[in-house]
Amino acid sequence: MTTRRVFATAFAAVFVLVFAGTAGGYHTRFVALNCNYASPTPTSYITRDGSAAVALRARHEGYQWAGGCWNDNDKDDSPNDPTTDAGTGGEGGDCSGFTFKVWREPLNTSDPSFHQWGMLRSVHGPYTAAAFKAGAGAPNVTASKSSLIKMDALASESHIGLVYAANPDGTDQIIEAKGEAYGTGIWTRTHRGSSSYGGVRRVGWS
Amino acid sequence: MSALRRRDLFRRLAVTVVLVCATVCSACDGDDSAPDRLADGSPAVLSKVSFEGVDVPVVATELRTPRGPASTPCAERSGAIDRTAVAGTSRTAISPDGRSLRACDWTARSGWCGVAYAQLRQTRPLDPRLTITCHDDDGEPLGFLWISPGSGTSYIVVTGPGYAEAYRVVRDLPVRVTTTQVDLETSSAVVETSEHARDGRLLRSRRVEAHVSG
Repeated sequence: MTTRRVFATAFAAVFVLVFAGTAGGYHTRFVALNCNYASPTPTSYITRDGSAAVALRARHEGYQWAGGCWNDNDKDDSPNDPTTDAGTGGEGGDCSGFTFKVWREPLNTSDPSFHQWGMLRSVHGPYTAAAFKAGAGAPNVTASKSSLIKMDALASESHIGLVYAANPDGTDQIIEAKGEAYGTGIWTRTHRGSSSYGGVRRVGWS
Repeated sequence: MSALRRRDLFRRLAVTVVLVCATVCSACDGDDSAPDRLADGSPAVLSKVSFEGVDVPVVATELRTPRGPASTPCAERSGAIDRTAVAGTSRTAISPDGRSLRACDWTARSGWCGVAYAQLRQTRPLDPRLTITCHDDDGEPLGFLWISPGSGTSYIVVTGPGYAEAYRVVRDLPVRVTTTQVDLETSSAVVETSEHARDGRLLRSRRVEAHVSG
């Protein structure tokens, strides 16, 4: 084998290994391998405790920009995906996709009814954090921050999280899909005192 | 009236009905011309620029500074521009520090129906910030998204079924376009875009797939 051919073969092997490694690291293909597109189940009513249970199943799972599919094994199956890339197909919801699913909303923005989505159903829903903040869509209304109770939301133009519990010091335990580096979980946040955040409520539950 | 005359009258009436139906139906089937109105009811004008590679009629979208009373949730209007296309209007405002964009989307059917916020990296948002919460005149979901122009681009042309829309680029800022190519199931939209120089020369074209996110 000539030196040139050896060099070319070695170069090709290194090229393949480097790019295969990159693709493998970024693209766990979680959605492609695990998620489905099953129809949601319409349900006549939901409760705040029921929504909290839905949210808690996502706790310790991943975060995926534009995503909305997760399992319940308490680990991020797609860590370190590139942020703000909808194409990586990793595990988890983003903040608005998580809220949509936990609030069990339909895809039709004119419809305020309740739809139960499977945990592994890949769905984000039509709302961004900014849309939630504005109370867009028939299921959502803005609410004063002082009136917010369990499973209402605090939303800014770039993030939304759900009130899991209010702390005595005025902060809140927020359950949220926080970001690629954090995944989904409960964190103490000061959103209620921030002028960037407004209150949002899912309509139709007590 | 004799039976013969009555039959003749009936035959003429039947022929007339058939002809009218044929005329109406052929108009329905074959009409792929550009719309004659923009979303705000103003006349739609075909662009005077000839866009290389675009082989359907091209409607020139309107670009103006906001007028009339400020409307919630888009009260701030300093430095804002309104773009009116066939199906909707969008107002884009850049923050005073130049680091973020805000948009409010409007349709005749839904009123102010979409909001978007984007942090800018240089002059580009991190993603197109798609909204799909507005509806067009037929009640179908309408997408709004930002397209970031490349170097030297004077026009962004969005090609849809039967016609295209031309958006003039201002200060290299992202252009908020509309699309009817929305998929609610995947909360996404697709637009076929091309970028053109001032004389209509094609600079680049690409298919943008955007997802509702964040």
